[in-house]
Amino acid sequence: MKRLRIACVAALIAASVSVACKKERATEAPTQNEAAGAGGERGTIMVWPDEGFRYQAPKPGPTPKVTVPEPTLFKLDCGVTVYLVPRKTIPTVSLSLVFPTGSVIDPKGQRGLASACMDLLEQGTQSLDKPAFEARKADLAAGVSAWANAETSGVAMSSLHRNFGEAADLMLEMLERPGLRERDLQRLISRRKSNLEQNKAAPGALGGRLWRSILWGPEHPYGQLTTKAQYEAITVEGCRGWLNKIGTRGASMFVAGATTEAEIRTIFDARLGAWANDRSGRPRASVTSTPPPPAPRKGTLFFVDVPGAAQSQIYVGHPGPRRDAADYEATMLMAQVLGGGFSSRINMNIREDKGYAYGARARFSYRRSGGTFAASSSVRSDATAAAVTEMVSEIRTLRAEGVKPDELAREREGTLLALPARFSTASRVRSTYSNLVFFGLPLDYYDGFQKRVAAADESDLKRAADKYLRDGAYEILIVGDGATIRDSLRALVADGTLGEEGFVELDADGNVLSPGV
Amino acid sequence: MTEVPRIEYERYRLRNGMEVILHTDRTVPLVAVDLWYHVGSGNESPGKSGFAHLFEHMMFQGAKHIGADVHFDMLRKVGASSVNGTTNPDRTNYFEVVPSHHIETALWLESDRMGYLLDLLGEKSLNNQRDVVRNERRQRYDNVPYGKERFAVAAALYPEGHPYRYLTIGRHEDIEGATLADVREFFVKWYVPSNATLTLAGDFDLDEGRRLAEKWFGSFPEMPRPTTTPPAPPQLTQTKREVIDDGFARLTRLHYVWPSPKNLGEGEAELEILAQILGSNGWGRLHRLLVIDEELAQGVSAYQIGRGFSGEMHVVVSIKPGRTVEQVEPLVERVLQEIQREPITTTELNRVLNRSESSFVWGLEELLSRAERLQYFNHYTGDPGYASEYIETLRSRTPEGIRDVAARVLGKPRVEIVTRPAPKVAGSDAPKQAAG
Repeated sequence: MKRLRIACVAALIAASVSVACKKERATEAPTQNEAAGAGGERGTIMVWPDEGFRYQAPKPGPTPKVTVPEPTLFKLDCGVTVYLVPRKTIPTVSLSLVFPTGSVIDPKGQRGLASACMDLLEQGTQSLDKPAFEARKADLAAGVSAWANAETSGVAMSSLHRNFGEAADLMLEMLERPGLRERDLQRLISRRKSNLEQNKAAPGALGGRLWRSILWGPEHPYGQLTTKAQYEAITVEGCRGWLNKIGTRGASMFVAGATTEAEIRTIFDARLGAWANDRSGRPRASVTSTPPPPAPRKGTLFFVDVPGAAQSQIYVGHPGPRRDAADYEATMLMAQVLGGGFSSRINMNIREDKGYAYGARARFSYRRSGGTFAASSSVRSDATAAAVTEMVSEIRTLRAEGVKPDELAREREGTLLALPARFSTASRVRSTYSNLVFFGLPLDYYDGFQKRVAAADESDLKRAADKYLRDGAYEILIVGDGATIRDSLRALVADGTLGEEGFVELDADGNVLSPGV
Repeated sequence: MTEVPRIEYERYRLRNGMEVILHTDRTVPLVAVDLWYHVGSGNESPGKSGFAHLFEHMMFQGAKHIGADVHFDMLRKVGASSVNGTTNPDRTNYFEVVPSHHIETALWLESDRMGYLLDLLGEKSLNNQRDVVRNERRQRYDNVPYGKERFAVAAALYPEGHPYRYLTIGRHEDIEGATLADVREFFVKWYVPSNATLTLAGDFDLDEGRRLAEKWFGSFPEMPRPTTTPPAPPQLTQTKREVIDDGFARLTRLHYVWPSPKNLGEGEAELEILAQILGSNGWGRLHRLLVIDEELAQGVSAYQIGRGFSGEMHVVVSIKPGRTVEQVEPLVERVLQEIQREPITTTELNRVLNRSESSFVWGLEELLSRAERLQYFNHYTGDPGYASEYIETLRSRTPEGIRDVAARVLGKPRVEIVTRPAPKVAGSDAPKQAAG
């Protein structure tokens, strides 16, 4: 209370200063005196001011120089490259050990192996069963986890600095002496199978699952769907095999927070080396493979019926460039104008003008071996066909006409000014650098990035739109209420302008129900 | 025990009654601008459900000096991140993180919609946002598994006329019925300076922060802070059970809810602790028994939601395919009885305390979450720095006290909702679309 009263005095002093402060005025703005009393609407007694300075955007202060924090780099004895972002703002440490491989090496018929096996690591160690393992984590107030996605896998921990050593011990124990219990595996397989059933039952999740198989192709490592039968083929023995395919050579460790190189070495040097040694005592490297470019599924408009769906999930897309393409920045700026963020053309059209949806977007996505483009939205059922038409029209218009100067300015300036936010916390810096490492980009990438963004002009964006957006031959996926929308979707692809491969109705697993129009 | 770091701040009021909270941290050139209006869906009138949230959408549609529908556009251009607004039963917040040299851009936008929203208000944007909000409801509630369950819980707990009955998102017909007159009335009553708190957190000089708050908001008139009469807390005279069919759900789900203390009210800390003792992954008593030992459930969660008027204590069990409600319920009951009879162990209690303290520390990393924490405690306790007291409150709870609160809350009648998967009759509560 005392603090409050003192502050009020300060506010009054500040108030008297502001009376004298300079007013910036636009031409049509009334002077402050004229405006006084023109409060209007909000009651007869209260006066809302209408000072001149409100009539134009305030002039910003000088742009601060963007300092991109560089991580400290060193190698552990076992060959792991460590990217350390030391920051002591809060007394915490977060760390991930990343192996450069994942589900891309799942054997045929066992799609889901890598992911399930890393999940099995989280079920406990030889000496700690699942309840004891979770209790230990909770006692340390630490996160300890393991994961695998398409091209990376790894283990991670986060804790207060005072528990760093013990939390790291627990993470290492999980790697060195995993429980690998049959019962734990069966429990997590059963959970995955019912999650799969759940994902097939609702439009949003169903669409998300099928979309990559359509865009990349059902046989592609990024596109293959995990089925019930594949989950059932996963065994503890198979998981032992998977764990032998990850190793420290070529692995990276990303650390952020209140720690030092010396502390990290003390914890990890000896133990990580011992964990991943092969038979000759050398650190083992991870086994990986490089997937081919996307090979989209044959068809133009794929439809899955979910009777009674209140909205339709829509995807419109096609293959896109690689992340290391020289014109990445121009492509990104162009895609921002089309479908990135609230102000994008697609959102302003589908949401703010037509009111078809809560939101709509379009963007390029990148994986290590290639990229894709997709516009997406979840729209009111009766507006499904109209929304597809509008989304395609925005893609075609941008491709044909490019962006407007104010759109380019907004995205270019916005991107440059938003850079400090990307580096604002240790966690963000860590994820930014792990992303660069994933795509094989240099650590000083953001120097060049700033220059390339600043230099991008309308013709660069037009060229990117021409090169990477399509005018036709789209892949379209729609999940929604068949009784309401099926006929209008057939009509959409009847003239072949969206693509010549027709309407294909699928079941929830992506199997063809009715080919052709 | 960890010493939980404090967030240094200064709080004061402008002459018109608007509160200002300033927290400086010059580490990175960013400022989080976070404006709370102390009004939420809990202040809605009967028949106007969903209105506070629809109104929040209208706040992005433009104001006199900034122009129509340019809020996001202007903030994008200056490199802002985390631009949004949210509505809950108690408050509505609007926030953006801007590069510090653009702090005034954010204040310009925020002050304009506080002062001059009605100048640009029109039928067209209201019609559009009614559609957008109804789409938001479809996307988040009507078209997802267990969306129906959320409405069923609220309808069973709160009588007609209680503002929590139709959730913050509201009923389709009420959203559809909102008029321009409703928007004006709501704005005039609730969106007054004396009902708002502005928090600035990040890279600015304190004197400059005070000067800017005064420049953009200080000349607004002083108007009385609106008051509200809390509705009577829900009372269940007997347990209510309802079975609902959900076309999008694939697992049977058992959901118990008890009326409980309001946010930060007497006994709430005990329930927060209890929720973790019951539902924590692996070691939580219900989780361990049902998911790991007996393999009857696929997931268990337990949580206390404290709101301004009253609270809800939830226990939710997702039952494995092939297992039944009849198998699960006696075990749930056993654990619930046990926890009302026997004090928890100090090991369990310390585990929960460690976790709570640690999550407080992690919450300090982002400027916006610091601003939100100051706002949160200021809203509910009048003290932005209440976090330390709250941790102290948690630390001073005892196993016996927790048992007593468990008996007081969980020993009473409850709501029981059973959701059954209904594969062939998928559907939603959404009324049929008008043609066109």
